[in-house]
Amino acid sequence: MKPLLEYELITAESNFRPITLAEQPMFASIPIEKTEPDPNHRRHWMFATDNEKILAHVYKPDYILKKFKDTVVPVYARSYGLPNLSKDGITRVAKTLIYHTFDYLLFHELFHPVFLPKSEPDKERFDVALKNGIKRAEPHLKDPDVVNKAGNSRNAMWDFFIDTFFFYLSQPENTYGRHFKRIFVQNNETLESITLKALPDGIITAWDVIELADNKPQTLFYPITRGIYSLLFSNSGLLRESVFTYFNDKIKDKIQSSELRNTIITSLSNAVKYLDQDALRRLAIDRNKFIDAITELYDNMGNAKTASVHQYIVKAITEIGMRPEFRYASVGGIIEPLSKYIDINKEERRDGAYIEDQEGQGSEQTSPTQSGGGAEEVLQSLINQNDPDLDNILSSVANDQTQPRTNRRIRLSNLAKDQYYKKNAKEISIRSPITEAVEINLGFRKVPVKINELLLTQDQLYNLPFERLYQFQLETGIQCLFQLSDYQYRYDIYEWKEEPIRDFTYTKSGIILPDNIIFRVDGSGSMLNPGGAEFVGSKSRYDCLMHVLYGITKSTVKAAREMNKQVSVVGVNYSSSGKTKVSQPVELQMFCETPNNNCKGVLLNPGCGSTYHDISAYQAAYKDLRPGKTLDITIADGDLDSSHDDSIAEYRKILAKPENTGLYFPIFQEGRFALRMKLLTKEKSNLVYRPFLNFNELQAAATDLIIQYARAAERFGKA
Amino acid sequence: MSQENQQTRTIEYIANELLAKGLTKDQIIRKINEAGFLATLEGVSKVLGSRVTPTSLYRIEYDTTNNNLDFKFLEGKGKPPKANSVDVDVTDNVIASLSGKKIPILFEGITGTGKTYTLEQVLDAVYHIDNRRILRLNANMSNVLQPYINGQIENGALKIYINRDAARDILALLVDEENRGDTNAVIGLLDSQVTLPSGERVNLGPLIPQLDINGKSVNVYFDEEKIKSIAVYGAQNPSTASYSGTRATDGAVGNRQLKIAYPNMAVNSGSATINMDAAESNGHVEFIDFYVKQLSKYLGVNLDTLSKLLKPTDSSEEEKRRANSEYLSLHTFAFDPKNIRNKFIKSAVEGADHIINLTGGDGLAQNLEDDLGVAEEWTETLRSYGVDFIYNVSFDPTSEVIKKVDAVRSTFGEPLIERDKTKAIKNAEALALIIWYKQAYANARELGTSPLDEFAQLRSPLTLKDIACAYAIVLNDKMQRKNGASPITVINQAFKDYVTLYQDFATRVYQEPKTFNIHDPDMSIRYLASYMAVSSIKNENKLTPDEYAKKMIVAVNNTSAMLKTLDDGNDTRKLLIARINADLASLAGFIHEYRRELADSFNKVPQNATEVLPRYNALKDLVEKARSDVRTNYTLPRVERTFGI
Repeated sequence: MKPLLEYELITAESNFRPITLAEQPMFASIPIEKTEPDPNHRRHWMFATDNEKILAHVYKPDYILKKFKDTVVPVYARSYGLPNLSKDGITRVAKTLIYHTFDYLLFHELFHPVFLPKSEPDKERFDVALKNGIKRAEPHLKDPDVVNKAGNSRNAMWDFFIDTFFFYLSQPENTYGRHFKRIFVQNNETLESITLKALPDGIITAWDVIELADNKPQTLFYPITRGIYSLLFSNSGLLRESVFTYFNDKIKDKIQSSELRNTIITSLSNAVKYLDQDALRRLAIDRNKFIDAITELYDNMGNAKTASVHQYIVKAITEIGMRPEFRYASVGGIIEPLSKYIDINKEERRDGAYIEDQEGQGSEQTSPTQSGGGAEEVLQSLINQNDPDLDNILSSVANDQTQPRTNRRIRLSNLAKDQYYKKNAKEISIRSPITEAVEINLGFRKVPVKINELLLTQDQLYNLPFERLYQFQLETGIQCLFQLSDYQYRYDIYEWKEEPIRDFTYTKSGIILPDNIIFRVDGSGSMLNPGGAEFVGSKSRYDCLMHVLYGITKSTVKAAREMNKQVSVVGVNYSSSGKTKVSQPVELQMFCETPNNNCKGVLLNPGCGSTYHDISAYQAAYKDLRPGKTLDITIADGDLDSSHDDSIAEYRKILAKPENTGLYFPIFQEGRFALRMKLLTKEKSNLVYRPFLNFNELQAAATDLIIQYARAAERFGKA
Repeated sequence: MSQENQQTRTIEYIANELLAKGLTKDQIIRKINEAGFLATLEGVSKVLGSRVTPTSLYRIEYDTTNNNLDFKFLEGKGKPPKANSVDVDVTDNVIASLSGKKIPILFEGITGTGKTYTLEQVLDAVYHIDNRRILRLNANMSNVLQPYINGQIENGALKIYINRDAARDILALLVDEENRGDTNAVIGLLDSQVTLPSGERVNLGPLIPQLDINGKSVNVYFDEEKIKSIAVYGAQNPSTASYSGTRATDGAVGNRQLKIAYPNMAVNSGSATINMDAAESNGHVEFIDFYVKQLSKYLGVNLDTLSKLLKPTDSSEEEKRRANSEYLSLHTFAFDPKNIRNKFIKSAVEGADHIINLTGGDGLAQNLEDDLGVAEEWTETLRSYGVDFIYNVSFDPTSEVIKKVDAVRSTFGEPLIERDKTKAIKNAEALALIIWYKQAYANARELGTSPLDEFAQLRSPLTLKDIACAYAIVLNDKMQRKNGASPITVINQAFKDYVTLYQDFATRVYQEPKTFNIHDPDMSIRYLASYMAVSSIKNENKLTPDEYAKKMIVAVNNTSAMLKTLDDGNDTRKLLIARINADLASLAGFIHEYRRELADSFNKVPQNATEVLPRYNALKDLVEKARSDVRTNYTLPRVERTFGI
């Protein structure tokens, strides 16, 4: 037996294909992935896209049907002129509305890659516009919260524009609407007694009606924007008012009707607030007329006479939103009055309207392309667009210590820290003095080589390739055909052969990278004064240490790329007892490119306690390393609070292996433990001890040590 | 066959018969062309019916409601016929290529699928063995040009020269196993030429008989310069590891031919070939028999008389040669490319231009920049007129739509070149011809009418559909690797961009909704724009050159401004707008440069307030004339395509 609602989904797809072929040929064959029902799934359905395919997953068709029957049909039926439906009639209407909701949802997903966001730069500029709008609306909001709000509302704002486009284009007199009309008439589509020549009115909001059927809205943003939806996405005044009332009922105890009115009217009016006269002229929009139309529509939403203003508004927003050069200014205005309602901690979007397991909230980032949540993406957008406020935002977000420290906040902070140091840390250039001669191939040349010799009689001459022989003779001056006697000829056969042209040149060499690098850093309180955990840009020792670490990483990554070598990086962050953190090994390129990999998570989040070396951390850092050479670097600014003997013993074990090299760098001062390490160098030739009075000296020496570590002892062994 | 040996009595006889029926010279030529074509087609079908399974290649379906082209590669799988669609098979392609301009076709497919066999059967049917050649290339090349050259050794030095009679004897050439030999040796043959290293050259093919009618007197003569190019076909296996003797096709050879993937029909034809006649009889004799019968029917001439001319009256070699010569003269005359030259209507020219823009050039962003630059520079030059053609556009080369277009472009082995465009034009003509005759036979069967009458009625100027289908084939041929992207999506995108832009533009101009009609010869954005420019001076007379120029250039500028407002955010549409805008700016520039000549022309045209066309045609004539002037303005091609020239 076929799953419930499978027929509706397949029929919706059969409508989708020819329309897409006609209107968006480049996307005509976009795959639509369906799935089997899953009663245990968290969601009842999921519609989403990754731009390569559309996911149309219906997990709980029974639930969906029930919700449509119980909630959607009662809200919609009267305005369709179907007030007294029988039980079977309700089921039929529900299934029809579900079918057409699928129609809408498939196009909604298609419209993401087609219209918004249609590219990465488009997405980024949209994010910047949102951030600016939120900042204008709430100038006292901390930057991390601005970023969070922008990230939490971006999906909803994409959807707002896309749904406006779809509503406009699917009107019977417009392109998609004409296609639907043709299909529905051809197939005799009906909604009970009504012959359908267009999608059922208000179909866009059906999803949201069932989303709020059982779930109380946690913030006001979603229901307020659904109020906007009900205003814009119904042609019938009766339905508009019915759906608006439905959403309003969900929040009327939380927001005054006057505030709601003001918010919605201002939000929609602001669609033109930041468009200049030239833009408005190009769009053929009159600013005052538009604003008046909004007010009239809201105040008379149930009145059929608002049809023309309604159409005007929808068309105007469509014209604005379709054009990237106008949509950013527009969304920045639209979000302003909505800003205060946006949740700081949670994304405000239709649940089930995104691909799960991609959000990355709290989970380790294992690839550069694994997306973070919306807030991270917004921050990344600000970085890529080089937002004028970027430095302040980065340091502010990096140092954000708002409690509770959720995974989301930590990830965002790590991203900001990572970007801050990538932007500001000076790269240290790689020096390599050794050059050697290497052979190079300049190409090939063709030379004629004799491969055979034939003796021919006169009658056999006929088949010779005369014109080729003639050409060959002209090119080479070599005679191929000889008359030996009256009756005999000799034919020499030549073949062109390629031979290489060789030369040599000098290249720089001598860069030797280890297979593994371990950074052991001191994350104690002394390293973090002043500022504590808010160390980014504070000029504390840890801030300086991060500049050094990133400077080293930049040049080491370059060397690794040139040599096509993979290097594992491990971070160990010492703090108070039991709080030492040891990362998993992360490949150097990954370490560099991703802000939230395991190793960065350790290095960017010091414990701010005492200087205690957990003994287990010594060997733990060696777990899962690559076979080969390991460079173990320790940087500390003071003495050790834990047992010196135990730590020295661990170092001995590490240095007992000839493939390991240790570097110990005391900064600013040499404590007693440091002096014991200095003594250890007399026994262990693979240990280098070098104190540095300041970070500049460390910076200058560090990269050389990594790339020439085989000669480290030779270069730096003597303090 | 030398000129003096070519027999033309058949042509004279037919021409006299038709002249007696009151037909004009052009009508006679057209009638012989159409009747000859259908008679050839039916003759080939008769012979091949029992020997060759039809091998379906493409289905062309045009949805007039959506203005959507659906072009499918059938890969040998026959489908039930469908309304508004035409299926094209291998034989159609071969016959269409025989009938008109040279389209060297290369069939590539795995061994044993019937590529060579099918081609041989078609050529055997249409031509006597002396008039077609089959070359089998291999690594130890024998002299591919040997039939056309003579050589001897004099004092150890080779002396070779061209055999001109042999060059005139050949009408078709099949190069088998093309990529197993040195394909550079066949480059000349693909161009229908033999060129010796000494520089001596001859064009291969028969002389085309020329018809002259003076009153009631019919004269058929030959012009040494008018030669019908030979039809060249190639067959080869793909250059993959399983065919170790094959090589990759050289670019210069590859882009001279249209490569068609030859499908494996074994399963699709199934056991239908079990009882197929394995060519026991002489295909050409059977063909001539049927050809003569059909020809006499279509031309309305006496069958006996025609038979005596075209078939040998006895078994002597001399008589066979004579009859063959008559046939070849008639065949060559009927298939003179000049008689089947087709014009493309304006929207076809415009739509093709957008396809070229989306698939050619160094990149879409570069193409856009070039067009924007032209508009900007003309704005600067024409500053004194107070115009502004500058198009401030925000184009996103990273948008998903553009990425998909780029994905198609990235599969091309080489960029789009002039030769590809020429191939597309010739293919469009061939496809149009195929569609016409298929439709003609379907109508004739349905209505009980004559295929010839149906065919004559269906012939019309070529449309955007024809050129779009042709580009689908040409661009598919250019794909060197498959990445899931199909050039048909780009063609449909171009189609959609053009049709919707036209509709939006025309709706603005006419102030009422306008729907695109693919057959309307006057539907074209550039045509509308140039028409409006001339319309701006329709009530004016005896103006100075500067006055004419000012009015017209301002009108063009207004049109440009209107066009730019139609930017709806769609990136491929922006490319189209930018290109048309740059062309309009170039038109304005042309008006400025040629304002004196324009004023002279306009002032000569009798002024009629209701008629714009005479002055429009005067402008168009000036553009055509400017092509022959010493070049000072290299944006003239932009103006030419405004007029569909």
